[in-house]
Amino acid sequence: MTGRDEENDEPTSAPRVAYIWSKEYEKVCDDLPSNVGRVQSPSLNDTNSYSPPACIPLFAHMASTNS
Amino acid sequence: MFHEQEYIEFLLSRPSEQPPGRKRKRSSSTSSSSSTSSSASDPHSTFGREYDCPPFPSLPEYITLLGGAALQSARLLSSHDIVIHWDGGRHHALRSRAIGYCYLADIPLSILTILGKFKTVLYVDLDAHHGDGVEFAFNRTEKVVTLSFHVYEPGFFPGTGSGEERGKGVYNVPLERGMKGIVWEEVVKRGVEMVVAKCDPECFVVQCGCDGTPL
Repeated sequence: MTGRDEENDEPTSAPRVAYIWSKEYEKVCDDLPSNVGRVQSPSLNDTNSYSPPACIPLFAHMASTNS
Repeated sequence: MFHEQEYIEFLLSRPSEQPPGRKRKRSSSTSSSSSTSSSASDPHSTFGREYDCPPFPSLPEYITLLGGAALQSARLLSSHDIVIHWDGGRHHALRSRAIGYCYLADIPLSILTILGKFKTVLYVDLDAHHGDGVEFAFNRTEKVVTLSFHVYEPGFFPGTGSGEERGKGVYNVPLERGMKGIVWEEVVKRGVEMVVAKCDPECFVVQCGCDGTPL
C-alpha cells in the first residue's frame, strides 16, 4: 500500500491518491435534510479556491439513467 | 450486500410508489430503534424515514450516487494507495433503518468490498458523534476493528459509545465537549497507535467527520 520501488526499497513517488466526487452530487445535496438551511462551504462553490487534483467523474452515467 | 433488500427498494422508490401502512415484520437490526409499536406498520417509520431522515425528492438519486461511490472507492484501492470519498461517512445507518441523517451505510458497503483484499481493516471514526452504525455492523468479527473518538454526554446523539461496549474489535473513546485541538490530536494519536499495535491492520478506513458538528 505504499509507493515504493521494490528493488531498492526507496520511496519513488508520492502516494497514488484518488478523489471521488460528482457534479451530480451537487444537484441532490441541497435537498439533504442535514444541509437544509445550512450555508454551503465557500470552498465548494468558489472554483478559484477549490480544485481537487485528478477528481474522477464517476457517476455521470448513473445519474443520467436514474433521473 | 449489507442492507436488507426491502429497505433498499423502499429507499429507491418514489413517494407515489410507496404503499401507506404496509405491514412488515421488523428485523433484529431494527430492535435498538426507538419507534413505538403503533408506528410499526408505517414503512416510513419502520425504515426510519422520519424525524431527521425524512424522504426528499432526489433521495433515489442520492442513494444511487452514494452507494456507487462507496463501492467504487473500495475498488479504486486496487490502483491507488489512498482514496478520498468526499461525500462518504454516513456512519449511523443500520441494515434496515435510516438514522441520524444517514440513509445508506456507505462505510460498511466499502469495507465489505475491500475485505477480500485485506486481512484486517481498521475503521477510525473522527466524527463528533459515535460511529454506532459501523460498530454494530462489524462487532461480531475481528476482521474489521472499529475505533471511534466522539463526544459522550447526556443528550448528545446517539448516546452510545461509552467505552464499555462489548464486541470483537470494538474500541470507543468517549470525550468531553470543548476539547482543545492539540489535546484531541494527542488522544487520537495515542488511541490509534494502541489499536494498531493490537490488530496490525492492512488497511485503514477513516471517517473524518461529515456533518460539521464541532467537538
